[in-house]
Amino acid sequence: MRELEQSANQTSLDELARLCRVGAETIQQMSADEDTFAGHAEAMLTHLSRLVDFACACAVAVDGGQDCSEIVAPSLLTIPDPEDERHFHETVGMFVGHAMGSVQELEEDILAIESSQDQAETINGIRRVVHTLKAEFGVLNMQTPQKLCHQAETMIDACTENGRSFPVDLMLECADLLKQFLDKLTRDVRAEFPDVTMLLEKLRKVATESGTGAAATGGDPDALVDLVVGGEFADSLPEFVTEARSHLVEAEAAMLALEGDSNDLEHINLTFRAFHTIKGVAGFLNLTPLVELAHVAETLLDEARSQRITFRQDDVDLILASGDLINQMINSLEGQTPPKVSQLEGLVARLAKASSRPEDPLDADDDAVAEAENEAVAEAETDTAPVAAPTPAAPAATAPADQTEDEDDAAPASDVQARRDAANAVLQPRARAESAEPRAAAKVERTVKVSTTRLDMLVDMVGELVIAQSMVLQDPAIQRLDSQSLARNIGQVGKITRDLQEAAMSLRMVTVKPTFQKMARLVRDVASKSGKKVNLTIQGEDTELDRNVVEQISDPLVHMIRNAVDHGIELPDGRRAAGKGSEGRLLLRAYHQGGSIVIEIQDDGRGLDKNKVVAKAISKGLLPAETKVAEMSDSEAYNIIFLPGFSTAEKVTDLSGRGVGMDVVRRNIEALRGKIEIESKLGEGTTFRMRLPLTLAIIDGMVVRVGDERYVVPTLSIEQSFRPDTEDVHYLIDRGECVRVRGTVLPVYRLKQIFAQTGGLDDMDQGILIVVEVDGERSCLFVDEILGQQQVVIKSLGLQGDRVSGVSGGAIMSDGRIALILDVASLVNSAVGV
Amino acid sequence: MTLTMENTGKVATNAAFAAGKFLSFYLSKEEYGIAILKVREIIGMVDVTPLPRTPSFVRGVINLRGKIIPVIDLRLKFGMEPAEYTNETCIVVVDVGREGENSVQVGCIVDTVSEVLSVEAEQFESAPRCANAAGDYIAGLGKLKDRVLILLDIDKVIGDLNPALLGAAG
Repeated sequence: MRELEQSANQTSLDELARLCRVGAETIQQMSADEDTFAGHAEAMLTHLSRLVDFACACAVAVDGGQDCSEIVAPSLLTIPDPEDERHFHETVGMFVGHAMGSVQELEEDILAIESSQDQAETINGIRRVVHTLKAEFGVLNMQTPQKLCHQAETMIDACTENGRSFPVDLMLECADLLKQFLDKLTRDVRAEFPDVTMLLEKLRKVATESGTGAAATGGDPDALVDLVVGGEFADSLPEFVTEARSHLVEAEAAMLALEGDSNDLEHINLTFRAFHTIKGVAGFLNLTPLVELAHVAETLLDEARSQRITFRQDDVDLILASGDLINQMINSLEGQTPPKVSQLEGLVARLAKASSRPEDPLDADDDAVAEAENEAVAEAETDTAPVAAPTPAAPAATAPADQTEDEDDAAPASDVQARRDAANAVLQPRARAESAEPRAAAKVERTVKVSTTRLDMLVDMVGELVIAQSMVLQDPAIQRLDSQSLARNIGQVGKITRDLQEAAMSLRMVTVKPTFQKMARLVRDVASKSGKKVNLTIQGEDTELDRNVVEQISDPLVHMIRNAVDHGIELPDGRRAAGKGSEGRLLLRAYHQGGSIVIEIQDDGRGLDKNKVVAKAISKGLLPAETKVAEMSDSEAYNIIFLPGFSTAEKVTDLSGRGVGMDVVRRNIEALRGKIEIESKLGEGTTFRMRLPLTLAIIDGMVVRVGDERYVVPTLSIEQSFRPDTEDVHYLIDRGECVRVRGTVLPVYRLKQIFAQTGGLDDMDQGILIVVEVDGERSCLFVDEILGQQQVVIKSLGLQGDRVSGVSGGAIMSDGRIALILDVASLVNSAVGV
Repeated sequence: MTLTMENTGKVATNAAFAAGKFLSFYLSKEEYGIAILKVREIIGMVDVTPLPRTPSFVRGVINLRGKIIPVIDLRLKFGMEPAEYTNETCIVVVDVGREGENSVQVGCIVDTVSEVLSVEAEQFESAPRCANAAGDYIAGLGKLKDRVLILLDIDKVIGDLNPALLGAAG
């Protein structure tokens, strides 16, 4: 036996050697333990006979020059030790029970495919089951079923990758076979797996077929880019989309910064990393067109950062265009129209051309080396880039990447040998990159991505808690109890609840940075289109705002910035004539002020000409012809530009001039319950100031009562409140009730009347008048009394679509009842007709 | 386009209505049914905050465990005499609209809720065509042993709530 083992070792027949060793051990045991001899002898005989068969087969194979691993070893007959035997029985028993369930599940899933809506998910389910089975067979050393599962897995992968229909029949066949085998196993743990050569062959065929099938699909140039998410990581698509967007934003910012200094390697590096990460993740998701584009863009950047070519203005344009196209593709994953294939191909070709332009000192022969090196760099970065990109400051992660950089730089461009060395050297940092990763990862781990629905749910629930807490506090039964400790505890609970609410609210806060960065891009585009030079300064980009607010200020900002650049800032010649620098200055900043956020856009352009504005408005019929400019205040005159249809532009360009923009701005900001102010000096510039609430979920309001009902009036729109004297109240024919307040006469609207309520006071001197301001016009609302000022959580009234006019929502008061929140603007506007 | 969509929607609802379980309730003397899958919960009458500038059948809004939902009075909706609210008066909270984000909850005030009934396919009958039918509120009739159940298409009943609101507001 020993001899056999040695000879087997010599011929490197591992399996044979193992079996021999087992045999030898068995013989040893036999001699050591006489009692079990009979049982062991029998096992030994079987074992030996199988061993002989196997050895023969191996011998034949070796003679024929084949690989021995092809021959299936005899089913494992290891040491027939009673202890092990029992253990094996148990393991198999456990396995069979579990596997039966898995196969059952598999069968259900396969059948579900034909009817399922979400095929990708079902197929993923199947893949998971097959994979688990494969692993389990592997543990039990059952090689044939393991092979079958493996082949099936490969086939599923091949099918999904190429978007082919799922071979349901074939998979069912596999499932049946597995089931039969498991049945057999329940009766005999050492059952042989049925012959599967045919089936394996079939699976293999389908798998390869699908590969060629995809390659054959040609491109119709007008066709839209087809992005089908596949691969093992399809579940992580939402994360990919968010991440890719933030990478694109980063890349764009870097590209714009690059325009100042076109060979700043750090910016190129940053962009390179962003594209590279996107490419990597898109690869996992099998988004081939995306990978392709990201790859060529990356190549161009790589050429630039290794200083084989100088990075030019057109290159910035190209990279920006690629970013846009990638963004479009990412958007298409969320249901928007994907870009055209021709668009993609055109860009890819331009990128490829740019990266291989004649400045490149390498000839065709060296390109291969360069490419190999690229790949090496790429590989090294795959490990570091995802970590490094979001935290470029993390030295651990960036260091290896920089190192590859240095090595690139060190290589003289003309020396091929040096490049080869560099390519080899580059492989080493990879190992370091891997070891560096855990440290960097620990840093990144501190943030958790949470879906917005969950976040909103939490905020909602905390809002409920606040209400419930104050309900308890105000419960008459509690208030009757005269206990100091209770009062203290309730106070404590109240404090914690408020802190909790604040913390929950802060979860929804995001910085305005991405939005501002988008504006930087816009300024660049608009300026170059209109032939102006603009220098944009951004301040306070880390100011935090409610997520929803940030999303909604983007549109107004676009309009205002476009206006500032297109109308506000003069052409270089005009600026010089006015004694200013030829480069226009634009300041975009955000800051906190008195519980709200202010976003300011300041330009040093020509400023608003009050006379011109009014004249224009009159000529467009937006103001009555007899309006006197001198009688208007500055803000009144400037507010004209918000009127729909107003435009000072002499002709409509593709940038602006239709008179829609500023109207949109005001509407959007009012929808956010914000305000906008204009400050301007002729010849010196204009400032637009948006004042926005920190959050949309909470409003600071005055609680008023009319009859039995309570209403919340947003504090933002209240100017003052007072109890009128009867002699100040007049009834003007044709105009309705009016009241004299400090010399001016204001219209009075009775809330009771507007809402057709039955209860409520009629006598003016019993109630309270609240002066509100809407669009610069003041008016009074008559209510019974003011109950107090309070922050309330705004809730939708649960009606689909539009809201009731005059009411913007509801708030749940501390007694659990609902108070309606008044929308003062629409209330007053509608009251005019009452 | 709207036409085809409505048609397909109708076919689907009718199929869904053909058989199944219904929550039955009374308005005046008639017994009505709402498909049980549409019903979210039944609560007793609570304090309703009136919603100004809405049609009279919209009683207002209520606080359903922190969520504000509108409440309509089915009697007024169907043009019946209003009735005093009693201990028997219930609010049936139904889910209307598509599944997911767009679905809204609306409370329906009914005189009294009676039971959950099964209506078999053979007991189901389409509503008779009437010349002066105001709306498409009735999905069909459930002919039980001793009585007839008027099966409401609650989506249609609630469905014209919003246009009505807008109409009243504008």
